[in-house]
Amino acid sequence: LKQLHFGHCVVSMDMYEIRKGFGEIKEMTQAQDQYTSIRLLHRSYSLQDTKTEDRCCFFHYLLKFYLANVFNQCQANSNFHQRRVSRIANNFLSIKKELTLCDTVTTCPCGKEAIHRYEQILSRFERMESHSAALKALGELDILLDWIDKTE
Amino acid sequence: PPSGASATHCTLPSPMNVHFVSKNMKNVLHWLPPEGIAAEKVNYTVKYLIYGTKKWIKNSECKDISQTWCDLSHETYDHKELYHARVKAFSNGNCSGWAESVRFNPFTDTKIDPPAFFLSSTENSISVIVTPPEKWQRAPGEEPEYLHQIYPSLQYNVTVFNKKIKKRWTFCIKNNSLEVQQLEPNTRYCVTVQIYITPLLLSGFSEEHCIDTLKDPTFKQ
Amino acid sequence: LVPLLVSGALLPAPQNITILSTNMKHFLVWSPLTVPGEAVKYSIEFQGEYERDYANDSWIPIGECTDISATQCDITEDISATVPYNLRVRAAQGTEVSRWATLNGLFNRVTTSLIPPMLTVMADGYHLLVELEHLGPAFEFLVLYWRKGQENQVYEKVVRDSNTTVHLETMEAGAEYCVKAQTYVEAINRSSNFSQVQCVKAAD
Repeated sequence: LKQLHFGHCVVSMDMYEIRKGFGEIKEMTQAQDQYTSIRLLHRSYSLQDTKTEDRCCFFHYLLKFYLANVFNQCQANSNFHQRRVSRIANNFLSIKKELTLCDTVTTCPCGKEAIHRYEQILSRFERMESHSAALKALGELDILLDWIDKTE
Repeated sequence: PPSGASATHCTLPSPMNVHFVSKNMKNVLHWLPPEGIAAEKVNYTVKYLIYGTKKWIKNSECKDISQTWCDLSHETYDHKELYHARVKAFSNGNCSGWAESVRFNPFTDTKIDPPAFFLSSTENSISVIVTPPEKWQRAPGEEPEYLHQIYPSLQYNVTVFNKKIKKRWTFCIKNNSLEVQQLEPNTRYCVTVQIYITPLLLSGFSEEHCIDTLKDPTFKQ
Repeated sequence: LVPLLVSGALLPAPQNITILSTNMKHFLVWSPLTVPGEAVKYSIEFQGEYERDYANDSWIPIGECTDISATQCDITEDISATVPYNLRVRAAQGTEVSRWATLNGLFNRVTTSLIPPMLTVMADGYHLLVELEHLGPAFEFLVLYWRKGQENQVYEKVVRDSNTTVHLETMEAGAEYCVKAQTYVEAINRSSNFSQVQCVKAAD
């Protein structure tokens, strides 16, 4: 379990469950992404290199982004795929609920950097056709999970 | 492409199963020859791309090669990037389309080799010193980057097998040394070590190395 | 009460749907339909909180629990987040299909019952060892041990992979040591009760 500390707020993520679920659809998802010259979660916007005070807000944005824009856009081509996406999505929702309990106003202030980083990602996403964009974002989940693993 | 084959019109079947084989982030691209073509008559050219960039980059050492692998460790050294690689086949003036690997993420897709370790013993103790595993080094003299710096949660599972009573114990240690005390003198103990990072990222167990605790000088046979 | 089909009536929906959840293994169980004619098959679907909040209340079939004859199925793989899940079952006989019957109330894996772990404590010369049952990657074991008579000085060790004999301590000659353990599941942040205490004696 990975624990992220944002002030006095502690959010725990079942990384094993999420990585196992993603690992089982990673290859098929990434293979469908033809736009290898586009990377949404660019390393210059990485979570671990975000200023500590902005990390919580940026992380909150990323969770909401995946929940609202990615998971339900990826029409699952098989029951197997659908169940893995459901596993990941419900784990993301569980994390977001934990974060929301943390009185985000005080523990999750949204500074300029958090907003800027999120907007960069969103603008790249919105420049793509929606299904392709959702597929790319889902395929980049290992980047997000690596960021989370590397966030002290 | 070689003379004869026009750049746009390649009719050879493509290489198959293009994939990275990665050990401690030594990343080697492997593939299988195109179907139905004698392997010795085929040459290959490899390119790679840093995911999120436009340019497919040639690898000078993997141009017109006959082997079915290409060491891209240098090119994929930065484990914060992700990569794609592709291979094209040439034979008798003809060529194939590009065959591409799936996206390769060194941080999560590398396999971890079992660690090396050193054993020593006294009359009633053995000590195990594990050689901290390193990421693949670009140049021999270069300052090594240790895996525990890349994966802070790295730990070691050490098994100690008492050959006399046929019992195996397991120790889980965070730093790279372990001393097991209060052992029987003049007894053979065999040790294996595993690197454990997460349930999805761990090495196999190392080869077994054995050592004898010394004879107890005060004990008369 | 097992529903009996009167011929010509629609196939009744399964009844008495319940969840049996122990040590993070979750089984959906229901009563069998007693109907004349072909064998009855059952299918299960689940719906996590995500599907309710973001995916238009969609339901997802569980492949391994589709068209099965048994009246129970292991749904652990799909109850894979700590959120409330809806579950439903329906029956089918030939081309006829019953209504969906939904579990009464939502199920959250946080309510699973955690059983104290089975452990075997051994003394091997001066070495205190423990063997624990393997419960899967979701489980850790908190092992407490102390020297008998020094109950105020308790040591602890967290054991993750419990497939082997774990070395706890090098004991003092002739001393007696006691051990107990509990399971801990990080994903739901809960622990079981402690096991029975077991004591062993070091060699003299």
